[in-house]
Amino acid sequence: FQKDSRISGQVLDEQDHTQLPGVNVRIKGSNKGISTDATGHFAFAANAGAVLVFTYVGYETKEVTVSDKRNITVNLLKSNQGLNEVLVVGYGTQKKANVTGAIATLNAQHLDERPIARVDQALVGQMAGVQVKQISGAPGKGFQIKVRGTGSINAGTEPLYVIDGFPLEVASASASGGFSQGSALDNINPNDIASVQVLKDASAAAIYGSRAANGVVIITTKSGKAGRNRMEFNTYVGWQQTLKKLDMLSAEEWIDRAREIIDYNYVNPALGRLATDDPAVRRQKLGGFDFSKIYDARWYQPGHPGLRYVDWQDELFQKGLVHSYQLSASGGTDKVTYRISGDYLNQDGIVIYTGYKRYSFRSNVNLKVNDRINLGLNLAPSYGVVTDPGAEGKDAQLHKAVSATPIVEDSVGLETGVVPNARYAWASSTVSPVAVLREQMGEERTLRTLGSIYGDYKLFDGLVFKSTLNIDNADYRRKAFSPSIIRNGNPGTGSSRTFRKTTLVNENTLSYNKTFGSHDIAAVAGYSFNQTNFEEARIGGSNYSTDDIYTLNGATTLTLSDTYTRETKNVLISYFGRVQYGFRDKYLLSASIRRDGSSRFGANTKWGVFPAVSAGWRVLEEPFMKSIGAVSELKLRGSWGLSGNNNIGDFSQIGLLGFSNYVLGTGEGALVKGQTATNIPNPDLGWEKSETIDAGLDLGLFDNRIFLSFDYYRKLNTDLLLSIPVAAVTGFSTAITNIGKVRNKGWELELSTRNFTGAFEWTTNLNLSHNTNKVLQLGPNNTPIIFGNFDNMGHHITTVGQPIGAFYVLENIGILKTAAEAASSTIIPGEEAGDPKYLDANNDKVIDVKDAVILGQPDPTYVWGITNNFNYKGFDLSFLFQGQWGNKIYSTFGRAIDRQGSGISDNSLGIWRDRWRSEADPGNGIVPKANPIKYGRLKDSRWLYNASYFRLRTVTLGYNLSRLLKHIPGVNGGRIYMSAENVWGKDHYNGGFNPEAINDSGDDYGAFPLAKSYILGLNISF
Amino acid sequence: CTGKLDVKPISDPSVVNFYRNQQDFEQAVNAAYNGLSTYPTRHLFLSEIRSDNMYVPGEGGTYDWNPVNNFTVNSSNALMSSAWSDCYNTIMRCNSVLDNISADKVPDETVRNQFTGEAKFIRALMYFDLVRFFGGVPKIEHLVNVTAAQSINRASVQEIYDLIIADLESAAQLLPASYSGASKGRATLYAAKGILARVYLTRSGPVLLDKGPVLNSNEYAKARDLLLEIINSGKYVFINNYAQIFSYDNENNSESVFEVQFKSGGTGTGTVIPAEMLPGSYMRANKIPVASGNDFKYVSNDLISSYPAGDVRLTFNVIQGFTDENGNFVNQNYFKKFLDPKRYGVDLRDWGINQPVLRYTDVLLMYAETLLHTGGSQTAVDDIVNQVRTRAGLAAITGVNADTLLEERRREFAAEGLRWHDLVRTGKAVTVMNAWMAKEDEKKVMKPMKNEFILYPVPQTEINIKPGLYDQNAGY
Repeated sequence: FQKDSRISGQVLDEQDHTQLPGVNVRIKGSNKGISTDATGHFAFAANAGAVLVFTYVGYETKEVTVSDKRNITVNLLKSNQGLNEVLVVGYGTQKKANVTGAIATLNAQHLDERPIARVDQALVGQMAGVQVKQISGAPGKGFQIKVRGTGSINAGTEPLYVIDGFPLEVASASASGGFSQGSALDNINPNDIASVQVLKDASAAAIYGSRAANGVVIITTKSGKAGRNRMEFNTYVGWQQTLKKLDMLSAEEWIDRAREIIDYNYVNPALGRLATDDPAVRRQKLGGFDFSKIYDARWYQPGHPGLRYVDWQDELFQKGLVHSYQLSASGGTDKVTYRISGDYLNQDGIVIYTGYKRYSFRSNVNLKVNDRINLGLNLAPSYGVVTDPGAEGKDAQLHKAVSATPIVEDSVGLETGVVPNARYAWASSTVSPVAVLREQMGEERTLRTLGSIYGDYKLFDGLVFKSTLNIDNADYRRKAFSPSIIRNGNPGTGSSRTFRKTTLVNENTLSYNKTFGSHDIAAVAGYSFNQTNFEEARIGGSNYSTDDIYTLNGATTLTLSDTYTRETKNVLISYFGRVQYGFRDKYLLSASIRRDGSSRFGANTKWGVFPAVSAGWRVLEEPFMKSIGAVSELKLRGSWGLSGNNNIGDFSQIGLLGFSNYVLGTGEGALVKGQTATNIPNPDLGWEKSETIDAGLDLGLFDNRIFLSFDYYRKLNTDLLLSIPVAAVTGFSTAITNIGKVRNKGWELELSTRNFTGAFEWTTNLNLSHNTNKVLQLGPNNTPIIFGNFDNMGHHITTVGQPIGAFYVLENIGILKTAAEAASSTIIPGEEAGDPKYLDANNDKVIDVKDAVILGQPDPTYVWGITNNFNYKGFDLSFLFQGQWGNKIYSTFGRAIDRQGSGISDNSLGIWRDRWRSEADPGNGIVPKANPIKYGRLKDSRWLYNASYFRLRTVTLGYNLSRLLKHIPGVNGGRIYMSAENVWGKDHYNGGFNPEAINDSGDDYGAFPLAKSYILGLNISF
Repeated sequence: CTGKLDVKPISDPSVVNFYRNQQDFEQAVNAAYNGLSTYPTRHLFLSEIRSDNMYVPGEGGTYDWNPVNNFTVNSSNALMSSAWSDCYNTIMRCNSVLDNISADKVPDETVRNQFTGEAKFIRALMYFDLVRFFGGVPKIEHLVNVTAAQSINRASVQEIYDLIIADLESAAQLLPASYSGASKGRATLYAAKGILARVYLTRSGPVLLDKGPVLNSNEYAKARDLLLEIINSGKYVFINNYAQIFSYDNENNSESVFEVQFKSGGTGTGTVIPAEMLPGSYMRANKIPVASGNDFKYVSNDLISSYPAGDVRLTFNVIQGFTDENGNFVNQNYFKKFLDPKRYGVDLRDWGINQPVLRYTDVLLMYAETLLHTGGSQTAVDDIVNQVRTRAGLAAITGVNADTLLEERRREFAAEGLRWHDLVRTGKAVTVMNAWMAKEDEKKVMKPMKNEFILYPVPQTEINIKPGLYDQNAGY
């Protein structure tokens, strides 16, 4: 028995040999441990034969047996490529090498070193098969995430989020873009995230049963590690501005177009009125004023006295300041580990008077009571404030600013239309968007608390019982007020909306992990109870007696239709189990089953069963592979599974009654209550089924310097919940039924390469995914579902053989350049020279809605991202490029800014410079005439744009300050960085701001542009 | 534990526990009346705008109603599908009452009869709209499910009329003669008889289209007798002040046989009619909250010039030019019949004014018309017309014939959604419209009126449900 004696050493990075400060060094089996100093050195007493365990975030754990050597050098290997990396799967963990399902992993290591406002933002472009759409550039708004294409037509398409084992309520993005009941990722601080994994195929996800069909996103937050206490401070500051401004007609060009229409209106029909008549003559001949037939004489006076020309976009966009501060501390002993963190983010929007603020806190504490019992508590309160007085969407101020008349009376300037100022006589009814944003109130505040308490008890070796109790409580409040001065002097209106969403989850599992010789067995069985309550209250008021008070006591009338409380609730009860078996780490098998009962399903279909199996073969472990030295990993995977989508609304199966009141009685009459059925009940309503087969290959070469994963999948979604069109003679136009079938198939490629190692390090991560979507079956007669707002015809079609929601419009083939061409072409009745020319698709010599053709689809067929990281002598540089192609976007915004016959007042896209003016001056042959039209407009392909884009999403240049800071007592390391987002890229979307925008019935009607940002940041660790 | 899965809707009532007692049925009947809230706009768009009373060719954009005016409407026009589905939704509400009501649920026979009569009256009103706008339509007398509905094709015009007449005759038996107090506004037996008379008049005219609503059935005498019953009932009084008939403070007056009831105040029971008829600039000048106006729904010059000098109905019904918010005089004509600028509710779509479906003046003028067709007294006819003219401030005339009667109806009922139906049932729709168009379509956007355009196209959405189930109307 030898006495403890002193051992010292240094810990270095195995590749670039940099010194690693703060590495935890511990003697195995004891609680003795220290951390390395700023130069990576350590020294303490240990016996020969003792095993030292070196652990460090982002590196693989290493064990070194103490020999006689008293001074050792330990090299740690970065763990991001390592197959020993442990992945969190549903209800357990698994070594990456042994995974048989399709799981995408986000390298979250450096998340805290990037200026990211939301977790969803961090996922953009990072994982194959995971499409993250930034549907709005408005600060604080949620993203839409789709895993392996669109699997549902009417039910939700958002994945299930599981944070530290807690499955959150699945929120559906509404057709108008946002998440009206909150997004699962609201208020979550990206700096608290340790890892993100996406379970893509049914074999990985089916353990989550009826909620797994759209994929499962598993988020693990950072926790403390035994050893030295660490503190980190991260901050950044910068600004953001709009990525894009739309090319609109200038004031002079607007006048040119307005005059053309005014003269046309004035001289047609010919009643002795001449285009040369000046305004006074016109007024006299018309017997009064008519802005559509009389122009403003000042337009043609030098310096247009009394008028001011305005670019409303310039007035609305701003450079917004962004700053953020985050502080965390972590550490612990063998008994207790902890990590606490706090963050403050303040982001001014790129549009005036918009912004986002977040305060969030998290505390993760784990307590080892004894060898058998482990207890933990995770608590994360947060508070977010989104300020948006109404910038985005149809008739919101961004739309107004783009389409507003670019001329105001100089005497009132930007305050046009604000009481007591009249609006300019030739302008639309728009009140100054600048004033509306300033005067209008729109503020959303969310206080959210996520909490989990858990305990596990080791019954005997390998068998552990675990119970968790989780709560997610979101309290949301929105207040809005519109004062009289921006309402033409009509009294103000206001509203208030609050909701509380509470999800309670209790899960109990029994897990068993044991190795018998060459046989590895891991099994888990469990029971889960989920309940979500949603309570909402709204008050709408009008006739405010003053503009000074926005609260609803200032209203003298309550709007009954907007004043109510509502509640809804759903319950999910589940039993589940899984067995994983491995033989010599070579042959891997996994099977799982879950049985879900949901309150959302019909009386006849309360329970569903969701099984899955998968197998893997690690070919590398076969003897014949030993001779092929270049191959460091080779695994074949295959899986089959069935999962469900229960995101179908809480009471869709029940025949509901709606209030349908009437008025009776003498005088003005009194309200009498009426009730009538609002839908057709369906006791057979159930979940949507999603059956996936997946075949995958993992290949590592040259010690995994090149690592490739390839997956092929076919996902068949059946029993789709369809709101099928039914004969209106039933009293209803649609009925909800489980009937449709959609297939997604595609492949995914992830490739990571370490191109250079050593002093200059260069790594590349590439992901590319391809998905095709095809509808196989719809309602009883496969009646196509045609939808889309405005103008008497839908412009989306969901029909058999085509992707979901394909674009369905008339194909524009130029314009009718001459009267002769109009006379000889097939046209819409009433069309004449200067109007658009359409393809007579069905060749029936009439252009009408039946000539609509399918032209493209809304979902991309290819989505990709590529990240390059460079490291050299403390400098690091990374680029993330990402993009998509194969899809289109329909700009219903075009209806406001690119419309024939839009009249005089509204402004139009800059392409209208090249419009058809006469047979002699036909413009570019694409843009039709501005003058009034004589035919019923149909939706055409002019507003359909290619939505492909690529973007340099992020570029970051950092410098490791460790060398500079090492002499400052207590400081352990640091990094300073500059980062820019969205600074470069290309898209083809000239009809709106953002090719991924969704804000009006699935389309873009005046979306917020994305922000281009420039950030300076600092990380310091203590 | 499984019991926890039986979560009942918390904030929505459900059909499971409905149609149990008198109170439930009263609410179900009220909901059927609520279905009438789209009646006035339907007749504004599909009758008034279609007719020579309004010139709405389309300016500053193309709206659903422009092709209706221009005779270029196609089967995908949203007004077609809303007319079709709004009527059938209301029919479903009526059928819910009729299928479920029974003596054990509503033991009081008088009440039960009233509910049944009301449901039949409203159902008949909806089928009468359907047959006039679309011709023979699927005949749905009971609640139908999705599958059953897919095998019900269009009935003949005659079959639909059979249902309408049976319903109205039954309603005339079941309904009370009048209501008092809180029940005022419900359908009476005279409302049923009056609508039935209008049905007979419609059927009796000359046939221009074999699948159309007019059958040349010569049922003027049946109509006459029904109308005489109403006149002789003593329940109605001719009001001698035209403006008083439409006053916000004089709803359900003695002139009213049946009107759709509205009330402003943000309760979702207001009407949009005044704002549908007037442009945004007029509304703004009158400080009425407006986001964007329903501009360019002009009253036709022809209607204006049809009023003799001194006709009080012209100044009451039509605004001829106005001063806009910038102080400029705008020389355009709009209907202001149902506007009282002081009486808007919470917004532009919320007005409390009831909308006439059948006025006593109409009963009188229809009666005069039946007299002309059944060889009645010319003096009686002249007296009725002169009563109306006197109220309008016009001199009496003699020798009223079908044409002068039609012209008087046009002036009297302008903006009330009757004009197109009057032209159709009198066989004048083609000649009158084409003559008017030649005069007034200065923009040259209108297509010639032809016999087929007496009906509208069956909505494309309905044809698509099961191709081949419904035939499209000729001409579309």
